[in-house]
Amino acid sequence: MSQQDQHYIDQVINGDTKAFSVLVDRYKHMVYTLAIKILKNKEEAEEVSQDVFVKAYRALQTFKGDSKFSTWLYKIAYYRSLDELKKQKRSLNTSSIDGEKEYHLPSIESGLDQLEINERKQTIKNAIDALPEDDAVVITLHYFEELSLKEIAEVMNLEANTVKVRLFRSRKRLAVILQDKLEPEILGNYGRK
Amino acid sequence: MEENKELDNFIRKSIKEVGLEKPSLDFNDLVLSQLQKSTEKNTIFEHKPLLSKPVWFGIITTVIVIFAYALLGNPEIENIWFSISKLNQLTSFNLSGSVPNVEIPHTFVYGFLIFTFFVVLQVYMVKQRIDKRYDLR
Repeated sequence: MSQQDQHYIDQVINGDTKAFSVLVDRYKHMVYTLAIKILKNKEEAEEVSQDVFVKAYRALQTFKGDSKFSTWLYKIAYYRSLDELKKQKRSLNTSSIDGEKEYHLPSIESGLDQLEINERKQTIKNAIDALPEDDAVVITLHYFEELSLKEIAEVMNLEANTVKVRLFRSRKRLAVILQDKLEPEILGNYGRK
Repeated sequence: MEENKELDNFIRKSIKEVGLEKPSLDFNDLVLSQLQKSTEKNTIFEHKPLLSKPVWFGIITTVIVIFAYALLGNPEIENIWFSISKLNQLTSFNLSGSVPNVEIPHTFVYGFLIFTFFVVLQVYMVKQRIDKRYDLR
């Protein structure tokens, strides 16, 4: 993947703007998702994502290939989104969810299984959206993009160990939120038994 | 530990099921049009020197050659069109005697100063306006 990226990066540097379109196509969903997780607003996320690609295009000469192109791009997306928050005088939400609250995974799973596919997807999506911004970013990068702890640490400018702890907590928080959202289904399930 | 592994698998499965958010359909076009705009902007405002490097080189070489020839070549030039006697006339030239004495009224001076002030102000304001119009940011 990285080698393929380099091929298009070289083409863009040699003046072929259209080759950049391939890179945009490849990463726009992830960049947009990261922006939405932080900004929690579709229009703003769209604008910021476009800006991320424009910035990346201009700075492409400085991309040395030490890291993956995707990691480099996600770092731009993460910091551009934080800038946008700052511009609006908003700040990252720290967790308001009790990380110590217990959850019961089989109940959550069976609760989700009760739902229709679309409803299930929406419930999970709502739960991720309810996470604090940084937690949602860590979860998305790790579970969707399968980035290693080291790569996530690079994107967010953190220590790998800090990412590990954050990932552990985010996972637990997500389970607790899901459990709260699924409470009626879980209770209904128990009721039938 | 086992519980962690289970939760890990569950979250992975759930996140993959939800998928990523989708930006607008014309996302690529919008990005590319912004790129085009920014490259156009760069070409419009690209600094091009009035005299290119070869021209500068030519000018400097010509000047050095002329000076070198004048100083070292010891050319004998007979100055027939500008004699010393004519130069002396310049030093004895009296400007004040040849210009008629004109009285400038105060109202004209004030008017002229105010007029100048407004011309300068207008130049400044028009410049601001034009800068704003062509500012593509």
